[in-house]
Amino acid sequence: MRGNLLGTTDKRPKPLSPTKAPPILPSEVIEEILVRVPASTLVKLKIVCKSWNALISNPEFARDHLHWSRADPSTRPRLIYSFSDDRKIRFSNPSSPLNEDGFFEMDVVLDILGSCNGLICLRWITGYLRQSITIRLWNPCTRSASDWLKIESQPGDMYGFGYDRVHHNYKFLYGHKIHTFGSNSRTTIVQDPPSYDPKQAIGTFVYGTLNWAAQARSNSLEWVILSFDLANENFCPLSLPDMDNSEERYVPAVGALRDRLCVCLKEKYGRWIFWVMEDYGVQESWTKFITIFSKSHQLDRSFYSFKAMYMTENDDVLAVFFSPYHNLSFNLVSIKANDGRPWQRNLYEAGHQDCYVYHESLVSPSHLGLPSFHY
Amino acid sequence: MGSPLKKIMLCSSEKEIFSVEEQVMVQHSVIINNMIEDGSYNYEESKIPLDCVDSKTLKKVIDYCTYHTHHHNDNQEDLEAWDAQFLNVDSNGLYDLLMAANYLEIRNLLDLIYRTIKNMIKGKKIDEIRRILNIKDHGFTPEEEEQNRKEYPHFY
Repeated sequence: MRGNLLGTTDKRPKPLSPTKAPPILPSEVIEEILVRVPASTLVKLKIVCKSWNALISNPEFARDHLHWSRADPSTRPRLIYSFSDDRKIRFSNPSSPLNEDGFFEMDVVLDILGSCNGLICLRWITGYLRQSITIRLWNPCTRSASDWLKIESQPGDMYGFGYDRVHHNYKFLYGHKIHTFGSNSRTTIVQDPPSYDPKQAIGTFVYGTLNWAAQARSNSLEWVILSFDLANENFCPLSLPDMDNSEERYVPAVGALRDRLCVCLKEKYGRWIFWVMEDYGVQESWTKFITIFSKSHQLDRSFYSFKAMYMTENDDVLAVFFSPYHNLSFNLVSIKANDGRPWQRNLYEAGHQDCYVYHESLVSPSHLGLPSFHY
Repeated sequence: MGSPLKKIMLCSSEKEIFSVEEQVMVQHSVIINNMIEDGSYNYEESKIPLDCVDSKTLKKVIDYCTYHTHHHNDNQEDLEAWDAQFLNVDSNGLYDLLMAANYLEIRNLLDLIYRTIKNMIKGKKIDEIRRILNIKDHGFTPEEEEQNRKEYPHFY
């Protein structure tokens, strides 16, 4: 269809000479184009020219790029996971989570304590008797890592890694201390979690906070989500959704779906139910999301939990099915949004490991002011 | 939002006058929307001078805005097919459109052009990207360039 153009005359376009060179694009245009290119491609484009190299390495561009890629619906995150008995960090596609589509062979045995904005918090597994843990930040896409950081830690400490969206810092919580990564790295002591004991070692990062399922010290049947705000460095308990017939002894599993907090509760002798908190911190915004029904999951595993990890475009949910009491079994389950039926395959049957959603980015430890190394 | 019947006049760099439905431009161009809203456009006398946009490009820009105003309810696939056909121009034509869209602040057209150029370099080798975007001076020293070529031969 043509526009209603009263004033057009039949001007012929100027003939183009066949040898006319393509125009040279201004740097702002190059930036607009490259900000739309996936991070894993950009790292290969650094050798196009020096100005692209400078742009792709620039911390501000990395932030803009992250913002764009998170907003772009065509961005597909991956899963990152490790097993306790080998040195590989593995990746897979959430739509076929069991088909590993890449791995890095590391120099030591590592496990993963968190994944946020393309940065992975790695832990070096050094031995069984440990009063300390050794961690580093690593961007698998740019292959850059911070130096190893040794921190004092007690067995049974809670951990969590995430991004403080107010002060634009990455932070690592361990026990009652928090480490802020940066050129002026610092460790501060945070207030005690208010009379609750977390029942998950690793907190789930959602919306500038870390979250654990936690049990009241005074009443073992009272469960909350213990939330830690990475900006003001405070703990705060969030109430679980109201559910009349919930199994009180069941350990709720805290996960995240599309940047929303998601908790799995269980009916007495019955089904598992995923709830999502539409507005973070707003109790009234808990919404029942999927009811899971599966006989095979109920038989001898009624106290197992589903931890929500990822939601596909058609709202199917990828979850980890695990026992909160031991680490010997670990399954990835995909749950159909329309009927709540899971299909499940054993990913691995031994040892401790965890699985995270990984959004590739250009954010590198050097952007935080940390010395960085190729890793 | 302007009335659907009102027309505004746009003047290309060749001083050719284009009369366009006001709402077509108001919906797409931030600059024209601002001019209409703050009352700086006089319907009797004003012609919006676009000194850096030639007639051929301006006509294409108006085509784009008109189509997207009247077809915004079409399904995504049809719109994408139309857009692909619309941008089936040589790289100089694409560049002229980019500059015009930038000047008039037509955000969806800008985004479309950026994505189109992105797709032009997608999966291409380094030498091809340099040719497509006319990057003559890569700025690396001969030693750096040689080192890169040695280290990543399959990228070139």
